[in-house]
Amino acid sequence: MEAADINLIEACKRGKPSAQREVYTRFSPMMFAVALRYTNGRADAEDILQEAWIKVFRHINSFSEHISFEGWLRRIVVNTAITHYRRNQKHAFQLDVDEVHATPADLEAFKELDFTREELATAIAQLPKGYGMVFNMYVIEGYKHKEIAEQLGIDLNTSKSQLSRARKYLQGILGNMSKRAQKA
Amino acid sequence: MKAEEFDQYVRAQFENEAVAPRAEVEDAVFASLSAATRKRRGIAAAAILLVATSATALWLNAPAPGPAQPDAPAPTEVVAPVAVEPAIPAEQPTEGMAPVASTPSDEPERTAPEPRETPAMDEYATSAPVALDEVASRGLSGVELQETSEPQLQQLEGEKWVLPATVEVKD
Repeated sequence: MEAADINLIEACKRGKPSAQREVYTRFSPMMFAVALRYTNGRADAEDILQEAWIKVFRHINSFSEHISFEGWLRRIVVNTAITHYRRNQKHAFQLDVDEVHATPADLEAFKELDFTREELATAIAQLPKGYGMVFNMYVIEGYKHKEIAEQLGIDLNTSKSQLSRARKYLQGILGNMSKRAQKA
Repeated sequence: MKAEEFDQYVRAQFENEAVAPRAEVEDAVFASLSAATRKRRGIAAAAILLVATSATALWLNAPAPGPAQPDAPAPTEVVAPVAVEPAIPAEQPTEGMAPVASTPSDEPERTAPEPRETPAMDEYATSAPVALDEVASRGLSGVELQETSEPQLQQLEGEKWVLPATVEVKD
């Protein structure tokens, strides 16, 4: 971490409003992008972002310069998103397990990795909520299955199986998108 | 396609991803923060005011320290025997020596005796001559009074007496 960043964070720890504004301006787009991946709409993502920033400034004194500030912020957003998800859909996780079926034809169509970020984001957003959470946490945020299981309150094997199914489902969606693009 | 390959591809797509939120979110965040700060400061100010008021009230209502206080804290005191040490009353603390600042364990020898002890000492001082007169007026039988008033070592039939000695009165 650069000295300027450390000074900025120290100023935030002292509660300096201008430093807080600067940190917000710098990191909000990254945090909002993370929040968007865990929700279905911008309104929910904005709620998560607001809640996450209040947590950030309230607990910034516990941040140590030995770790990545961006990583710390991302974790707060993900944790806030999980809390938000649990609050809204207590039993969605169990329902997700059996409701997803990517067809073999979809998987067959998925051969090349040639998708834009927007297309991938659209495909991930179509994942059932529980699958999407596990996939985002494992693949994009780099959480381990043990952490995911603890955070989501599920079994370790459930986390593994949901990730596996999420991959297949996502590949099916992407294959379907490829087929439609070829027809067009 | 291998799972790791697919994961790596997706992860790479989302690196440095950024989406600007609406400006209203920033306003909402900082409005919440300033509200929380105001609330915290209000609580802190109220607490300080409460402590200051309590301290002032205690200070104003506190009785003046001195030997006349019957409720003055009586630390563990080593009260010298009044009858044996008549010099003690001279060591009674003045008004400026209130035992407020020091704890009982600090300097026990400096602690002031209880004010209730003072009348007893005065009483002893006034009644002592009367008691001595009474004793002097009693008739002593079987005891030989010595001429000398100073204690002496006596050597009688091989016995060595050391003062203070016990005197047995024989019939």
